[in-house]
Amino acid sequence: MTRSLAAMCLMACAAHANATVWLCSADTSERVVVSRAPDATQASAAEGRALPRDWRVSNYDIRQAFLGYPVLIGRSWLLAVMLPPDDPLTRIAFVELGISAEAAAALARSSGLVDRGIRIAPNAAAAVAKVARNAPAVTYDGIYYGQEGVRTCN
Amino acid sequence: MQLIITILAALLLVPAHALDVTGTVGVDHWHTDAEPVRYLDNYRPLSEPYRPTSPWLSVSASHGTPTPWGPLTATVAGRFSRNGGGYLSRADLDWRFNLHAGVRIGMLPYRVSTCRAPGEGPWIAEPSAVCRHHTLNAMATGAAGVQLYGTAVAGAWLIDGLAGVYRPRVDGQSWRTFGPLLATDGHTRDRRSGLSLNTLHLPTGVQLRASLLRADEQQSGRWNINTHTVYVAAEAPLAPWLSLRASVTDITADTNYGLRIAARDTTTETVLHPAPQHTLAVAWSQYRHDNHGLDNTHRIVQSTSITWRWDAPTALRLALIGQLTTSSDNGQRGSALGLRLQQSF
Repeated sequence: MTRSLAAMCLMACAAHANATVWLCSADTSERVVVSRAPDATQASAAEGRALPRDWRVSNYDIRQAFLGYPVLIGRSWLLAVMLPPDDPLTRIAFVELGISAEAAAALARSSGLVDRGIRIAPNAAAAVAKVARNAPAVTYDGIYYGQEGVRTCN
Repeated sequence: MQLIITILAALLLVPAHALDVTGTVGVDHWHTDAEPVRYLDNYRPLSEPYRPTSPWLSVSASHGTPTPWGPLTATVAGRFSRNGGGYLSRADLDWRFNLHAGVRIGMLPYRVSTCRAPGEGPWIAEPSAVCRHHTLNAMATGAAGVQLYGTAVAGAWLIDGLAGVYRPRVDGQSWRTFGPLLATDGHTRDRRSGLSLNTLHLPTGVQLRASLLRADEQQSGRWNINTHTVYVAAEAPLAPWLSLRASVTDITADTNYGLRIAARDTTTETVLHPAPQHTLAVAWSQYRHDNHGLDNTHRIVQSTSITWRWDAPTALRLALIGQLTTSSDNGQRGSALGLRLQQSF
């Protein structure tokens, strides 16, 4: 029992040290997802297909959301929630998106020319709570251990 | 004005859980010399009482809905403070008709400067005079109008552009300023237009902003002033714990009564993060104001500011800020020590 717990802790620590996990709202309503190619130019809903309840958000969608582009999921668009720029998780997460944490903080400021709707939560627990309450939404954490109201995005 | 009221009414009809509401509430206290430091946030003309303690509230509410033509978002934002009173800073409809472009109509911030919103950043009073002083910060405010904006990614750069036309008399928030001067009577004409360009280097966070704001104002039906404001700013994160900001604002104003004004604000700022939840910033600012013609006077205001901000590492989103500003106004020196406690929601 003790050895199993130790193994689980080691695995969790390894996951936390090297990567982040993208977490999406666990809303289980049936959704129609816009079929979106990298060169898509329309923000409005086009023809899509009804998906099972476990809808997925691609890394492309996540990057678009944190760049402030409208990403339509069903009848709402994806809310991007980030942690403070100096949080180590932010730095790791945004490297995956090709964006620095400082650039992400600049995108979230109200003095920008374009409203990007990115929210900054003070810590991971607050970010997860906001994502759970405001489906569809996305944030990141060091590990997914079944936090209430969220699931892994893809 | 009716459009603004319509936007407000529409937001009131939206269920509370569908509104995205954010804001900050706080209280500021300034301890200054007998004569408050000129150009500081709490400085007021002699006709108004000086209030060292000022509670304030800043709120923004928005609701977005998809349409067959693109996302439509209604946003309302306002601020109330004991010293500044209450005012609506934003009430608009934003129609994003394209991934790369959209249009806004309503009561709009000019988005000329990179002045921080209340509660953002490490300062209680921004070090730049054009961000904080009530006769110079016109470009940090806004008015009723229409804006067209665009955004695109070119390589590693995110480029945003904005063009706007404004009619401040429409929104009913009567202006207290006449160009860079205090207004002495009501406006009979007030027409403004602006252009802004912002580039952000995504891998590093280096940001550049260049803006232009033009104003054609008339007071009492006969006194005219044309004001041109050019704003240039740069921000460069040099390391995760260190970033630099600099801005230059040029204001030129011509009147029909023999007065010409040339003013320039130069501000540099160093921001450090020595530890998690701690921010330390140091800034130097110089505001030069020259009157020519009818009145040949010159003024130079130099100020040095240092501030420290601590963000509580809890979900309460509390922050504590302490700021010291010393200022020299044509040889007259003064200092102010400020303390702010705020909570974001």
